[in-house]
Amino acid sequence: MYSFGYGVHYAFGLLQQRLQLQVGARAEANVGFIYNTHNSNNPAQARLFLHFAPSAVASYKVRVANVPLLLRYEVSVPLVGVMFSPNYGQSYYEIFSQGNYDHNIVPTTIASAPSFRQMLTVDFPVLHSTVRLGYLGDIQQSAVNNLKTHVYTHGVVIGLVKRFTLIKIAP
Amino acid sequence: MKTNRLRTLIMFLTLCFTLGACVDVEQYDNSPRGNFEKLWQIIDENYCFFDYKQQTYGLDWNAVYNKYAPQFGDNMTEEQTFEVLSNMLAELKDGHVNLFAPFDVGRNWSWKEDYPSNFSEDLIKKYIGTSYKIAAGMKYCILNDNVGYLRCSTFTTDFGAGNLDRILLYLAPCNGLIIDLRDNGGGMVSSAETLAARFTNKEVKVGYIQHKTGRGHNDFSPLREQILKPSNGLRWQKKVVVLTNRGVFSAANEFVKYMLCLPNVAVVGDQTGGGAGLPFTSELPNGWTVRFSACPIYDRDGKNTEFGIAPTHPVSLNILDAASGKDTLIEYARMLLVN
Repeated sequence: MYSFGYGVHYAFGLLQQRLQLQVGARAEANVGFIYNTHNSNNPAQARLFLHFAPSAVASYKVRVANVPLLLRYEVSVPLVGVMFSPNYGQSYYEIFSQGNYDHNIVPTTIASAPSFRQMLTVDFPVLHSTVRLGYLGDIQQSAVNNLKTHVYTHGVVIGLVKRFTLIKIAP
Repeated sequence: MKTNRLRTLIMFLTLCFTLGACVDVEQYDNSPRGNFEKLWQIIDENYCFFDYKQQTYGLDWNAVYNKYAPQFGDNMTEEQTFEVLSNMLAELKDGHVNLFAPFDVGRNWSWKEDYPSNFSEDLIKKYIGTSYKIAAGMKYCILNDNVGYLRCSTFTTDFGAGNLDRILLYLAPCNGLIIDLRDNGGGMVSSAETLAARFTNKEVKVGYIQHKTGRGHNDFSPLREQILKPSNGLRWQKKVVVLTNRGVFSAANEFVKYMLCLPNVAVVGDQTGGGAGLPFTSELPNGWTVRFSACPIYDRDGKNTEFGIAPTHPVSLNILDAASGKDTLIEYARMLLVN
């Protein structure tokens, strides 16, 4: 599955700027599928949604053995969005071979799709880059079209951090 | 000001985070009784033929619960649990209903086992010999009276457009075509559509499909038309005879349904086995999987074909014909095509 997210946050510095709190919102898009070898006519469950989620980030700078580290905790809870879902007993044959649409693009709210995403990571320098390593917990739930879904992800994340600065130049 | 804004945002976020709740799902014990309760509930909330089977033979799923619940106890072995669960599922009289355990498959095959097969591989060999052609998983040849013969034993494989073009090109000089569907247990409905599309020159309504929209026995979507669209490849323009027996089931049953909507088509043999429900699967607490009919499919008159489609020409395999090396159904089909 592929996840894309874009967030806009308002930052507050505390403790002589060592602790930074960011509050704002994220747009999250998820595209992919879950394949269940047990299922016959619906072996692959398509996962497609777009959420808008308030989110918060707390990051704290420390030095350990003279290495600058950034401890970071990020959390977001989708508030509204849209998702793909077959209707209760609808087969993928009907949707994709026959083109029978039946409430397959469903608006969601925090009540119908209560989900939660958190990351606890540490950023540390490697050569000229910053590496982020940590834990991702992603709880996705939905109760739409009389179908209940649960997708729980607990993973190790590793990535590279790149900071960009937007510069506005007034003519 | 900045502190106030921060406080407001934190309060809003806290409110958001507390609004969500878990999506609860009822959990069942992994005990003989727990697996029974779960299986009964899965069928109760998802099976699509309750009303039809109540009218046909008096099926009452609540009565089935009362009949089988007392049979489950904590001291049952796996095999005993499997046997009683399979007996319960057999009440549905549905070939698409199966219980899969590591050691067996619960099934109801009475729709074919209770009837003569009207089919013999040995007799087929006398007609096609050993130099038949094979394409798209089908055997085909031209019989000695210039009638084409196509043996379609399964719809579990995709049919390539090029394969079907070459088959029909080879058989094009024939006076007519026999499609032998006997003992075809089905496969992909899309494959049945792909083959049937070679026998029509225009879009044809061939039936209806619907699905469940809720847990109630009568929670269904409106009927949607099934339209068979003509293939862009080679299309057959002459007479066709489809051979059937009780082993023709599921997607093969669908194929017969499509072909009966088309011109110049006759169906020779026995009533098909049926199987008009698109199956889904689910899982029990002990890991066994259950397959069941979930989406009902109807013919173009809105009639249910769950218990089969009658042939246009009922013909059975004659034992005297078989003794002299003749397949009664093939001979009858040749007579229809030549005359």
